[in-house]
Amino acid sequence: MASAGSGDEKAAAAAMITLISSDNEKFEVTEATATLSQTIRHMIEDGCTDGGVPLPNVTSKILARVIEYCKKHATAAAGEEGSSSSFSDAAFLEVDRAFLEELEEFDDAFLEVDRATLFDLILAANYLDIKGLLNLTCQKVADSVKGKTPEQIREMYNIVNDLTPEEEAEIRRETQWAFE
Amino acid sequence: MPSSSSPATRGQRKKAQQRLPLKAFLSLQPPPERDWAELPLDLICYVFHHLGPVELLIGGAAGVCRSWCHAARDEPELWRHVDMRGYATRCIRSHVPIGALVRAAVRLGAGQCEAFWGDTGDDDLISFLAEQASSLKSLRLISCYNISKEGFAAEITKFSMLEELEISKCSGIVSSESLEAIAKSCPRLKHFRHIKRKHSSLSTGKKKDGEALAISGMHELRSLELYRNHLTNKGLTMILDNCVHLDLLIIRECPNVTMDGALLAKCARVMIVTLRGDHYAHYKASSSYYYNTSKSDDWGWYSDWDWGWDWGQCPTCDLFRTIRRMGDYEYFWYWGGHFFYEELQDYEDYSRYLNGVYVTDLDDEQETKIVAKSERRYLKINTGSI
Repeated sequence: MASAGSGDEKAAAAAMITLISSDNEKFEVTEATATLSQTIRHMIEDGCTDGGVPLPNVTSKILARVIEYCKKHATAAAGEEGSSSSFSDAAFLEVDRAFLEELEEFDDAFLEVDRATLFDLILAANYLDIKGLLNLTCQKVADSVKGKTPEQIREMYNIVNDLTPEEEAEIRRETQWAFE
Repeated sequence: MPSSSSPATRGQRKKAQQRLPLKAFLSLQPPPERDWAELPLDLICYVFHHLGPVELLIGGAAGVCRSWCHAARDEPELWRHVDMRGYATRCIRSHVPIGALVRAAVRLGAGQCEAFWGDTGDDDLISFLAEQASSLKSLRLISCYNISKEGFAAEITKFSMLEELEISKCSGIVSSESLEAIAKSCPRLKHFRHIKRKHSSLSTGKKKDGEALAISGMHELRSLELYRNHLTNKGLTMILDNCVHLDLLIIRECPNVTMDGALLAKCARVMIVTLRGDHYAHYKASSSYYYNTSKSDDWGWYSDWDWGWDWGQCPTCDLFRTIRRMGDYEYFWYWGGHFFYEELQDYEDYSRYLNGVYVTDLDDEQETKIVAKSERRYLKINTGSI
């Protein structure tokens, strides 16, 4: 079991994938990192990654951030798989917990970005089909919107109000009927 | 910069100094704005999924712009799973009629609502759900004291698609007739959780197998959780004999069940977790390993604390696959590919100790009254606004 595991790891380490951003920058990543993206996983399965994977919707700036996320979470996923065989080991639960906390801290720090980057990260996570990243970024937006008025949200996200006064009144009525 | 390692001429240094302010200036420029109104609809919905039903109904998101409004009001997908638990208390404090919100949420589901979880409701709610969301697959009613036995029996017949049902601390519904109605009306039911409120009568040793008999009619059950039930070994045997697909059985605080050799042999295929009072005993009968975390010795198993037991897996629905981490949680629920961890206090709530009376000392009717009263008081003191 142990030797098979390390063999797999070696094979995974050997398999590198080149990702090419919209501005033609190349990023070399391990297959384990790249396959956090379901989109890329399918491409690898179909054997169409020779010569690099072009990602015309993702800029190098955003791709670098996405890879940073995937690297961290790929190690987490690998750790999870490895630990499943030793479930009865009480010590592993402790390690597990510490690692989860570290991962949480990483996620918090990762989200310290400006609105435009957050927007691009959501689009990239969706395009690359990285569920964890999509959840993380969308949760961030949801949390920032909670308890705010429409005006506050518009200001925060620089959104132009394209509702007619009638529509606005209608929505206000809808959301306020509860308070009668 | 590579050039910095070699001694730079005065001219080069001067050039670098001239370039620096421009670069610094460029990096300070705010990045170009994105139009959040233009976020694709499915992604707006994805964000809204994280808001929760109440925020989405009365929060500001729907009034921001046309595309956000459209997502919040015209997408039944967002209301496929309506989880209203935890809002009842906060809504009362903010004078928001929770019943009206529940109805609005289910209506927006436009008949596509598959899961409804709530911790407040009465007979009207049940008939409303039967009318507007009869294709529910998952229904969880927690602390819905005002649902009557009759109201429930009349409407449960309309939920023929139910696969998951929880009836917890709904003192009005507790009866073997109600359970018989469920068994009859919901032929697809796979997971059933039935938690009773704390009663002093439980400890007096009343033995009743009427509910067990009714449950034994739920032939498709994969998991069954019974808390504080009067059933005996005989009743449990009836369930095991008739629910042939049962994989997981959780019985807690059922004082009339004694895990003897005969019963363990009977349920060799089933994973069993029992809890008696505050003590746990976990059995994995199928492999004759007994994981026990009990401090009391009357079970005679190992007494090490060990959260690392193997929970196995429900072959039909991936239930309990990753429960290894549930150490902090007493309760959990699995729906739509996600685990919902729930804290013990979600069930064993604040109301038990209010007004200076511990509610096990009261009978049903008194309890319902006092809980309703103390809940209102509690809300005023302890909850934050929505």
